[in-house]
Amino acid sequence: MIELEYYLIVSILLFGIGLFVCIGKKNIISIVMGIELLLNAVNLAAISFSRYGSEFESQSDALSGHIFVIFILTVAAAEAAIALALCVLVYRHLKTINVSDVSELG
Amino acid sequence: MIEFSTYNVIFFSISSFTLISAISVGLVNSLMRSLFFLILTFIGVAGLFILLSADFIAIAQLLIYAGSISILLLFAVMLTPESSTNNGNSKYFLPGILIGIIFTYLMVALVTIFQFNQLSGIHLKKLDFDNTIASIGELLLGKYIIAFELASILLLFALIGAISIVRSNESDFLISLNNKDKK
Repeated sequence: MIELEYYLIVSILLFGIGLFVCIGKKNIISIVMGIELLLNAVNLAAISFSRYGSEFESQSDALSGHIFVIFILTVAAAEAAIALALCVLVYRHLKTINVSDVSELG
Repeated sequence: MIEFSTYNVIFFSISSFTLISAISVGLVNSLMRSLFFLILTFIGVAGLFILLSADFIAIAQLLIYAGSISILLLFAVMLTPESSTNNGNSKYFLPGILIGIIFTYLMVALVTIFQFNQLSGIHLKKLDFDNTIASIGELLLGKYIIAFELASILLLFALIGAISIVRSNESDFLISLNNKDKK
């Protein structure tokens, strides 16, 4: 039987891969992709806790994890839009989007 | 011991598909290919959501992540053309791998030591509704209504902010229009 731990391990592995993509890449768009991977891993953990959680008092409390994930989705959409707008702006000014080259102010 | 059943086979195939495409996001050279692997990862996570009987979240994942966020990323890749072939590693590549492995090891050790199963009950929780959509709607417009309204304001601000960041100066725009007329 597949239990909570298996889903949690998949979620942890996904989070570790996202951490590696975030740190190990120099392109801003790759870093944004890594952040999306991190958010997906957190969503997976929240849903699996909501599915396999302990006793809930009322039935609708069992879906609190789902509500959590919906708000994470909203914030992720807003964050992606702002981050990509900043990418385009940085590219327009500096003609590069490598974070190692964007190290000076002004 | 893991026995051989349909659910297990589906779970392991979907999760290995998800993890392999997530690793490919970091290892592939072209940024465009890594974006496509990211979309595959999103689809795999949506499959895991379906296995966890979260139907609405799975559809929202497909719509928002695999649909719109990946299109946004695609636009960003195409608007910055010189970088579209370059998914280069930073000088922190090895530390990144190391941090990822250390984090994964520690958290997996924590999960296996802590034994959530004994705390929260091994049995699957039987939810009594057919689908989760009606209950999610009631929760969103009842218990969590303030957060719901704040989320809509946040989305509005993000939209306006993104447009006003990217928009070029109005005077530059008028000058370029004038030059076009003269030509």
